[in-house]
Amino acid sequence: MTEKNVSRSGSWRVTAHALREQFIAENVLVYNGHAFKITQDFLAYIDTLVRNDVTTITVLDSSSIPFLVEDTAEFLKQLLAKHQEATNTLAMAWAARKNDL
Amino acid sequence: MISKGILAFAQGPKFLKLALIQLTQLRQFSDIDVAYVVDDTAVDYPEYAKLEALGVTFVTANSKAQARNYDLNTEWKNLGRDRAFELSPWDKTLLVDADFIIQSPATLALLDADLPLICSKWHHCFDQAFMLDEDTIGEHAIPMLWATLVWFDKSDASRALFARWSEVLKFLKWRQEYYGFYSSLIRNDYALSIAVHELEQEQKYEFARAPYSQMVIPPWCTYEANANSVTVFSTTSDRPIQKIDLTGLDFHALNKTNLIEAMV
Repeated sequence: MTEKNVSRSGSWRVTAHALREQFIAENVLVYNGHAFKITQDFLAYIDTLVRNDVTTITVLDSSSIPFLVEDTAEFLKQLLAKHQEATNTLAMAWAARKNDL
Repeated sequence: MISKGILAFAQGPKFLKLALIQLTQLRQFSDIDVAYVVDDTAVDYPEYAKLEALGVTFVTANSKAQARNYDLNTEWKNLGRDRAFELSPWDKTLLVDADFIIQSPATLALLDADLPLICSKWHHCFDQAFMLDEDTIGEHAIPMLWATLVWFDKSDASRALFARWSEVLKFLKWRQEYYGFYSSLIRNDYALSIAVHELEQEQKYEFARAPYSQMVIPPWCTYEANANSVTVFSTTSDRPIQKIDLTGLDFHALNKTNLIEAMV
């Protein structure tokens, strides 16, 4: 492999950014045909509904199409599972790279 | 049962090499059905048999070639992509460039969305200032969409979009004058953007945008590959070299020759 004068800080920056964008891409749940971009705000909102015994609610998906969630607890479960999967992937990807930067 | 799969164009020897790279990376985590549109010379190249052994469906169609100014060594046969609707063997299709390397399930997940057509609005460029590109086209400021990734089904909306895409390409000179833009190259990105813009302006159809950005590796970047990973280096003269280990990241390689040299 050719020796290159690689910028550590620059590589750190572009790697962090690329991993963040990949994390956003993987942080999308397709539920009953609707795509939902999972944010911490959205998770907290659905969690609030569940805690207040709201079982059915209409929400907007990522294309602003209304969708009737018939079981908010089940929806939250799937959102959390997808979010944790994406978060774990991000953590492992960063751990595998940080010592090589 | 609804069939789902990937469709890519791989016409000419370099695109067959890219297809093999793309499929090899994809098969590391997914057994999704894949079809390649090839021309009638494809069977003469060794990559054809290798792709066939990996279970690929071949669709034969011939396209015209054009040159790209930053990659003169590659014959660029990408002008038939507006025919993807008629050529796709799947009910739900991810139309993808052969130089878009899929290494995560994120791109495939949108095939489960119940939307007629989804296209990419943003891209971010490795080694640039992290901007999510929200370009517009011409004096009418038509929002730029990227034809690299298009998810579509066999609905009337998708049929109308691809018909308009063909029509835009056929009368591109007229569109250039009307919308006030210039391009020496026939770009599918422009044709798709204009087709979506016109259909939405006519209030006939609405098309969805992918809720995330796609990473583009600029043409001046070089790659180094080993058995386990691929690393990309930016090599511009005005800033220090930056690198990324591309493992698990989806990316669009603009310089096909550099990618092939590193990975084949």
